[in-house]
Amino acid sequence: MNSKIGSIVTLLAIVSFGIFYFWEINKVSSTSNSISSDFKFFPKILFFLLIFLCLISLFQAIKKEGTKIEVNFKLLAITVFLLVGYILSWIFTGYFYLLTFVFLFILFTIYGERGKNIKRSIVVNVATSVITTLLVYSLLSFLSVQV
Amino acid sequence: MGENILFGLLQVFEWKHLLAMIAGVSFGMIIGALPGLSVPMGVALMLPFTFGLPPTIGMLLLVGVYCAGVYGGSISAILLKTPGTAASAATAADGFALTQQGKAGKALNMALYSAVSGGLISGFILLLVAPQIAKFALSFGPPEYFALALFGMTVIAGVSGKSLGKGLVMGCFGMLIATVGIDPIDGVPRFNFGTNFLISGIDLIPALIGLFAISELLNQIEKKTKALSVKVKYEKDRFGWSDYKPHTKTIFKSSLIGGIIGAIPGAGAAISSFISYNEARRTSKDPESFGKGSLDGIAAAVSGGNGTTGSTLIPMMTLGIPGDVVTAVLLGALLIQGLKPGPELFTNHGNLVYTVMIGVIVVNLILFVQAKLAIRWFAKITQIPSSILLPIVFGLCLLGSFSVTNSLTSVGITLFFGVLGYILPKYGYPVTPILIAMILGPLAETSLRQSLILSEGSYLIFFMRPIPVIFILLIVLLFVIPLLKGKWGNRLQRA
Repeated sequence: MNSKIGSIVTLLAIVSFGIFYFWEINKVSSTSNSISSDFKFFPKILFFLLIFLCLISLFQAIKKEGTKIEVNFKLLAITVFLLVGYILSWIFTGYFYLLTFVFLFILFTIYGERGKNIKRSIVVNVATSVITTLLVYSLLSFLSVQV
Repeated sequence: MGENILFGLLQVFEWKHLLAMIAGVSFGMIIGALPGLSVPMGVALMLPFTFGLPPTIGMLLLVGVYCAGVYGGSISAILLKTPGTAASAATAADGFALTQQGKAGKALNMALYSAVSGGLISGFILLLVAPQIAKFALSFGPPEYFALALFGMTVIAGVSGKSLGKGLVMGCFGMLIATVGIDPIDGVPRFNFGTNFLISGIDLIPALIGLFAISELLNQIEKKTKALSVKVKYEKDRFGWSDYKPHTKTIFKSSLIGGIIGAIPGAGAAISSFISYNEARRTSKDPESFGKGSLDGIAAAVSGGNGTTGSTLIPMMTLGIPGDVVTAVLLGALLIQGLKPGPELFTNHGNLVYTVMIGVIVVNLILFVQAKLAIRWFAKITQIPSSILLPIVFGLCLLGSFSVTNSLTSVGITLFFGVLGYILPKYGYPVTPILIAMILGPLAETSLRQSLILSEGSYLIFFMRPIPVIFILLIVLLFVIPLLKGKWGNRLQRA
């Protein structure tokens, strides 16, 4: 995406967030008659400040010339997809350690260099996944964290 | 104060504290040495694991990661010309030139001696200056704290680089995020959208793991960083007092520069390292050798960078304002332990404060011993394949955020902030202001509203007392100077 368009889209997203925030705070009734001691006071200041700053930045972004930003989305998309998949399967199945092993093995495999000795890569990746999962297990036991 | 120092000294040499520092130093050195993994990331990664530890042990562990991490950055700078941290960028040219000449051992030793000297001097500055500032800050009331919180926000100007406007937008966005949860004065829930998990606000640890660790990992994945296949030859080189002595003046001067710059919020190790390097070159009898393998250059850059490690803790511990990204994370560590950074920390938890301050000094001694023993293995650390490293760090990040609340909500928050931290900088939006604002937001809101309640709604309260006035003048100065600098710079360029 072009840096100029990206910058404008980001600002518009932040402004939308700000408007939603303002709308949300106005839904609740005030706790105090005095404006400054009310719990809405500070968020309202922030809202107006945010809109003001966004407008200035928007003006600057429109004036500025954009450059093309190249992003390698393929590997990134796979990683995010795997992460979400890992968390969702953790929620639904509860097999934390098994899923951690599988998740790590897939990551080791897709990040690794291709064209190398496949058998050797598999053995190394399995071994690293097992060791890492054991490390996670001992760390969680040490911290007394229930998964 | 003498009693406290003695107590801290006894405490710091307890085996559990020593163990924490040793572990922190080892981890920090590895993180710093690995290109692509930053010191804030290392500290953020370790943070959740200190949650269940007593505060002193946890803080000493993190201080160890911090000090050793800043030094570790110079290892990959020297061996691979790939700075592990921003602060070690100035070391890269001279260090790598020496490596190419077959003097990697000499360069690594010089970096180590300089880092330890800088760290020790900075530690002593912290120990001497911090209690005095804390004593002074005890007289602060809500108006002073509000002005202080705003002053702390000026760090944003320092970390935003050229995009101050975007940095301010991010700061404001971070403050909005900080208002999620129960209102600090009336106890009214805000912006929880009817859910329970947002009532207590957005946890700092998952957010900062996302902003500084996950985002960094996503960046590395996008670049598809492969294993660094550079073979580095390390030959054992004798290094002693005779090698160190010619550079003592540079090291002392650079450490002092680091000590002063580190105490200024927003400046940090990278700036100090470059200023020290330039100063050493300016005053050198042989400025031509800089950039071509000068040991003096390495000494200046490294001691300047590590010279900030102790002094950056001064504003954090005494006033509760983070000096840079790492101290913002360390400040988060104190908050998570239920400790409020600021002058009260010195009066209510004096034992902890003095133990940590002396810990900064001891950590540097441990760093010296450990690095001296491990120096020949550094070349191997820098060659760990990223295909192995990245998934492990990923796992640790998710695990770390999960262990904070034992819930997957934290993991979700981490991922959200991770994606945010990856996308925003691509379009010039710095993410550090979000963290700084999330930390200072609650202080700013509480003190502003308390001040206005005290003054019955009059804003004059901020202009009737000397300290807020001084802070306001400083804020104006710190924001106006970069703007004017930019304008003048543009005009000069056009001329």
